[in-house]
Amino acid sequence: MSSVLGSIRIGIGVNGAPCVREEVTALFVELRAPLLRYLRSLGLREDDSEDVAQETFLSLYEHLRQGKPRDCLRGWVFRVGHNLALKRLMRKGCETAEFDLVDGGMTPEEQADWKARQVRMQNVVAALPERDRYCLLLRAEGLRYREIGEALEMSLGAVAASLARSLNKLSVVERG
Amino acid sequence: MRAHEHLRDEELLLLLDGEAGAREQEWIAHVAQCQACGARRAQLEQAMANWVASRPSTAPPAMEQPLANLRRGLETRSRHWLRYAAAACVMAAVAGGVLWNTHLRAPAGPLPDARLTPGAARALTRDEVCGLAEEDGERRAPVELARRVFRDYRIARPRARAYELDYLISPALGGAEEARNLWPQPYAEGIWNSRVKDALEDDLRRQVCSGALELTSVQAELAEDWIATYKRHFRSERPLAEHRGFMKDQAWE
Repeated sequence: MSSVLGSIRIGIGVNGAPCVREEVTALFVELRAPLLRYLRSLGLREDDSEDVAQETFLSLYEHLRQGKPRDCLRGWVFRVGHNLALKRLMRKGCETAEFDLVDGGMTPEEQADWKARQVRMQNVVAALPERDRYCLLLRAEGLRYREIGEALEMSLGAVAASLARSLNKLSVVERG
Repeated sequence: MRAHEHLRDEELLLLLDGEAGAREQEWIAHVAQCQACGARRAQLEQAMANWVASRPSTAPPAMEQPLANLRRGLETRSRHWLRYAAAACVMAAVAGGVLWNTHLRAPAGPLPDARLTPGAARALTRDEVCGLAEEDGERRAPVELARRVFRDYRIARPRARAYELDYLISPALGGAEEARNLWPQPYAEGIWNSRVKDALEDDLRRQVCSGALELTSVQAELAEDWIATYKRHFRSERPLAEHRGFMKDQAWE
């Protein structure tokens, strides 16, 4: 999986003032795909994920316009997206979407093996405590531990401990 | 850490993510020497890579329409911000106006606004001051000049008999007939009113003319703070009883 999280660009206007709209747009281009994947992995439907992504970046615009802290913005984006997604899921009850696990470009046999492995892993991930699951999903989207901590309001140590627990459980599946 | 201790999984993960902090060098050195920790780090690294690779590599979702939607949303928010900013400017201006009118504008109080009324004196010697005819020492400011002073102090329609257009340095003490030596002083309002100041000026003039006080010192003291001058001169924190009803100059009508 290619790394999608490059450096954050900050737009500078002609008069030297930060162009917040440009900055938000740049971040949207950079983070939309991993954010959508994360939102889908939480169980949001595709259209809901897109709505939440829009809402997240509009909130980011307000955040930046109000001069609030801009350190760890990627973590901030995923935190807001995460919280908006959970609210939406609560409103909609159990109406969640299945994340399509089939990868393109495989032979039918490869797809069958791959899917069987995915199902095993998904079962393990689904059985993880909520926080551990979120940490793992965010790590899969390329977030650094510090950003995961910002997104889930956890300490660095707690993120590392959570990931260690989850990786141990996933390793069992891998070996089996 | 002791040499025989291994790093815990979370420590190895922090090291892999470059978040070991101050212990980074210590941990790197340990892992380089400890075969078990080195192997465990490789396992964790592999497990993480497997997990990340196990995620479906879906095609990037189409960007054009969502980006256009976002830009529209940002445009709308931006307009709201401009409106808020404009409203904030108006409110700030209103608040500023209120503040100006209530606190910052030149006060028409017992002391003048030093920016408008720093005080000004004519180039007169003590003998010339003491030789002034009584009417010279008590002359009223011309109407045009008085209006200008009220205007400067933003008093549009002064209430009749509410103020005395007072000289900061009295003409009887060599004060100049200029706007910067005049201010609308409450005539009888408050304890430090124009009647008390008139009493002070009379006494100061007597002492200047008797040689007890220097003319220029008295002028400077009055220009700086006539109330403080009064307190020093009469050794009293409050106007003396006989000065409270002192009547000399007339109120502005």
